[in-house]
Amino acid sequence: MQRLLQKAFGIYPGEGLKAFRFAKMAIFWALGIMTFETLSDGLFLEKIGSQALPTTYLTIALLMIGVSSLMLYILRITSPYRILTTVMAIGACIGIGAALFLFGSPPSWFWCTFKILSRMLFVMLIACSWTFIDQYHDLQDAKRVYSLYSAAFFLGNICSGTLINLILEPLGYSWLLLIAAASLLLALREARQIVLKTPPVHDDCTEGVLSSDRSGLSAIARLIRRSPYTILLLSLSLLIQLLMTVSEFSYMDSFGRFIGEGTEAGEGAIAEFLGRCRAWISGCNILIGLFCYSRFVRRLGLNNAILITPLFFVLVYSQWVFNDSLLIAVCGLIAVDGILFTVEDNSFNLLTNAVPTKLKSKVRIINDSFFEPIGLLLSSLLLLSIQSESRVLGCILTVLALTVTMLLRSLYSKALLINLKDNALHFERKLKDWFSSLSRREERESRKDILDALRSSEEDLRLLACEALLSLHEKAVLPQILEVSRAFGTLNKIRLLQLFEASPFADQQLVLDAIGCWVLESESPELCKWGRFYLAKRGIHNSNEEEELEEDDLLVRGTALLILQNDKSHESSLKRAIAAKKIDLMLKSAHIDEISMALEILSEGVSGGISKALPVLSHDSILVKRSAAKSIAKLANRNFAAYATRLIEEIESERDNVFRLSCLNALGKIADTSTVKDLLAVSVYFRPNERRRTEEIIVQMGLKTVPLLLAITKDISIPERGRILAGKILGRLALPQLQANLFEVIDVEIDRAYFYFFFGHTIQKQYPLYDLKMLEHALLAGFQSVIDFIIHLLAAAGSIDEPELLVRALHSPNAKVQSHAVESVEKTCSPRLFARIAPLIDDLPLAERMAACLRHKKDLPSLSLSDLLSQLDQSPSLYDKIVAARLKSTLQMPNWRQELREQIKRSDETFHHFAYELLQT
Amino acid sequence: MKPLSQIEKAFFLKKVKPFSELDLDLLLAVAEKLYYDEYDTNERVFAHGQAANRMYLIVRGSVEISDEKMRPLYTLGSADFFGDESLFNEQPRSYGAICKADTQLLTLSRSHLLSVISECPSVAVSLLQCYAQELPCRSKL
Repeated sequence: MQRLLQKAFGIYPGEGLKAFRFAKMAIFWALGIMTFETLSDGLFLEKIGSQALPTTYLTIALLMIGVSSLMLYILRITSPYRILTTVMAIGACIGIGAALFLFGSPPSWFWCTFKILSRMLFVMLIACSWTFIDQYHDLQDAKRVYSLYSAAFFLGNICSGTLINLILEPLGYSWLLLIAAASLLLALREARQIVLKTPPVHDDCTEGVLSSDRSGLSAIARLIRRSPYTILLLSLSLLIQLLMTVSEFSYMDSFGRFIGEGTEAGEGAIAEFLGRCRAWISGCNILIGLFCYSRFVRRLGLNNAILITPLFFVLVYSQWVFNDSLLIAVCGLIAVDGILFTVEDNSFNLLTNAVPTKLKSKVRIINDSFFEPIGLLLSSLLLLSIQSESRVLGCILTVLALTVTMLLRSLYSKALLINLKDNALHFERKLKDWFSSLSRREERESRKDILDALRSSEEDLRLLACEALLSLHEKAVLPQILEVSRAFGTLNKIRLLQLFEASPFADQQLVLDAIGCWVLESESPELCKWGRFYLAKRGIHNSNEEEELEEDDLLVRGTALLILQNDKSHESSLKRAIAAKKIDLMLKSAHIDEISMALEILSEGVSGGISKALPVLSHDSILVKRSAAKSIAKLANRNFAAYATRLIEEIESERDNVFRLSCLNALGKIADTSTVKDLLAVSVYFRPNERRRTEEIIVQMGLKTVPLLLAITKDISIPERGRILAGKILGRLALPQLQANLFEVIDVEIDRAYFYFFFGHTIQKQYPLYDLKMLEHALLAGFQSVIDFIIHLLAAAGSIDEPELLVRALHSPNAKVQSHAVESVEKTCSPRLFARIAPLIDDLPLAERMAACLRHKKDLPSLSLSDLLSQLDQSPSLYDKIVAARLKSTLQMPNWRQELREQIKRSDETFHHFAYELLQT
Repeated sequence: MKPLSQIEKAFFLKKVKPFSELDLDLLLAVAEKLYYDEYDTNERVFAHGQAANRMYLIVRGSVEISDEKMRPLYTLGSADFFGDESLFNEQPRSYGAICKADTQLLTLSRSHLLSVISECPSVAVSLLQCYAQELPCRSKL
């Protein structure tokens, strides 16, 4: 029974209590506020009449703008929980106050005031409660359970309607209002229980989930302005609000005519009719909310669900505009109280997940308590001017809402991805790229900040500013940099020389002149040496080089060698021979500084430099290795393809990041397509920036690598990380080819993922007497690796620029970020593929995922431990093979030695070491 | 006080020890994820036992670190950082932090800090150096 209920309500095992608490709160506050709303509506129509509605809407709108500004301000200093409970408490007080008034005979202003206050309370409670609920659910939870909470709200509505119909006559308005107030107090108590007993969803965007966000109103406005998606969402909401008010006016007007005037009904007839209609509508809303909406969203997607509301309104208004009857007015009521509350409200909640993260918590409040009043204000002004044509107005608004919905639909998946991008750190971005992404104003301000830093009193900061300006590659800033550098100390001048060297302005006459001045004028011998060395590299010198060849100081000697190398006089060949001899001696020196200096001189274009630097790549000192790699990177070109294999071997054997990047730069210049497979094979052990560099290198090699990349992407004997890179590059070079082969590749991987996942979670239970922790770990690591591969490939095939983002987001400890990633995957791949991988990537309870495994492949449980280990033997992962061999030996499985010997024949060297160790034991 | 621009944040990061080894491009990437906040004198940044999601970098002002009985332990100033330990041990805050002057803070979330560390291990090494200096745990044995 419990399972059936969970399935019906879309709740996962263990989630019931949490969902029940939120549902209970929704029922209580809906019962309270809908009783206020219905009674105030009915009493208003009877005592004042529908002709005063536009003025009342206008008043509500003006007051709500004030109240919502106050709420947005309060949200900066306190939590949504406190705001929600305060509104509930105020609501209860208003209910009690109104009840006391109604015990007597209230003045005429009371009916207006009561209508205004109950509507304001209703709007604020909706806004606050969703903001509060949102802190406890991520997007994927929201898609399942928000409709349940909406259903609970409608259950509260039904209770309210039933109460009004049952109690209004025997007890009267006052007692009903007191019951509603008590219901609000119960909702307040439930909210407190939720805060005490329910852990919020982890979201590290703020310090503590319930803490305040301190960004000001101008910052919020700026964020909204930058997000077209948010602007469209709020515009749609504004239109829906206009539509709601116009429709409400239209059906109230019709009810007033068809019920109030046309019948002999007594006092409370409209309130009772409204209560009855709302109770029925709420009943339907519950059914739709519980059984239809979330299933519809999951099967057809949110981007299709959002079309329901405008299409329904189009249907109603296409009739209503020509023909007014009680039936169509009831349809209008259904559109407002049914469709808007079940479909539109839920869709809005889900759509807010694609709003920029920093805005998300505020959008609900901004919308419900700020944009909706503006909508109310506009609609009341419109209604005041064209009251008789309200249905034509409604028809126009409907068409507008449909248009905006279509636009929003087209932006939804892009907005989700932008959110992920915003959350990701862009290490690949250079200062220049970042500048080019700024608006003109932002760029001007950033440039001003750098120039301000250039005038700072701190020398280090000034140097940093110089670095920033040089990174922008703008020649115009050179005079400023050189002017500022005059006041630098020796150390920072030397650092600046290095910065110039790495910049495109290294050979600029302005720079060379300035350095020449430093050499002539500086009192620092160290700076003079560095300056002369810099100038000598560019053929500028005035020293007697032969005497300096014997100097102890390495920089002086290096300068002399450079001068000899660059000599163009008639004795040049002899001088170059002397220099070459000296450099050879330095390369054989025991001092790493001397070797590094020799390598730096070689990198200045000495003939045979690359062949001399190559053996030094395997030097013991990492500093020397780095210098050698840098030197080779500087000298390499397409003629040095013969050295590519050696460079790849060196990359594989050394883990230093600087060394590897230099080697990769050299390989990039060599651009030999025959190295692609080897390069992808070693990339398995690369750090992120090394992988990025490898990607760029292979992309630059061009389309001729495509067949090989496709073969590598398909080849399951190659480790996943290498295949991921191949797939990513393939996506960039030949997207149609990748897309054409996507299903074939992914289908195999999905089977592998289910296999790893199922046995990772069951094998220990299947064999409780064995210690299979290591096997479990290997299987789950294998699962993760396959999933990463799938996501990378889907992202690459879905033309997403940064697939790494999706994978990082899927691994994120931040549940909201993780759920966004799942949503982005859904929007990126086909529904058939997503249905298969969703249980693997979504944060579902284990029982659900295991059930999905069994649904996917029913023969999985029949595999024994021995079969499983035999399958792992065939895995491309070295770890899998080692674990399988180890377990076979530990469990003394029959013939394990013989099998291992067989396996050695098919395996690489790393496995051999391990296998022989096992055989010896 | 004027909020810091991204360039100013990046330049400031260079002064903070764990990030001082990063080059300008990496500093900009980290700066983009720093959240700027201002606190008044005697305003609490966080209390002992509070859930922890972010580390704090002091741009200007001073912050007093206190134990659970509110006894002051240290006063931190510009370019100091705090609140990072809880991001690694995943425990609630083990101390409180109150501003002792008008203070400008930059904060970095746990997930972003972990991303920075995975891309730039030098940040983790610098943090370890800081912990090693602050916690002479071996001498207590």
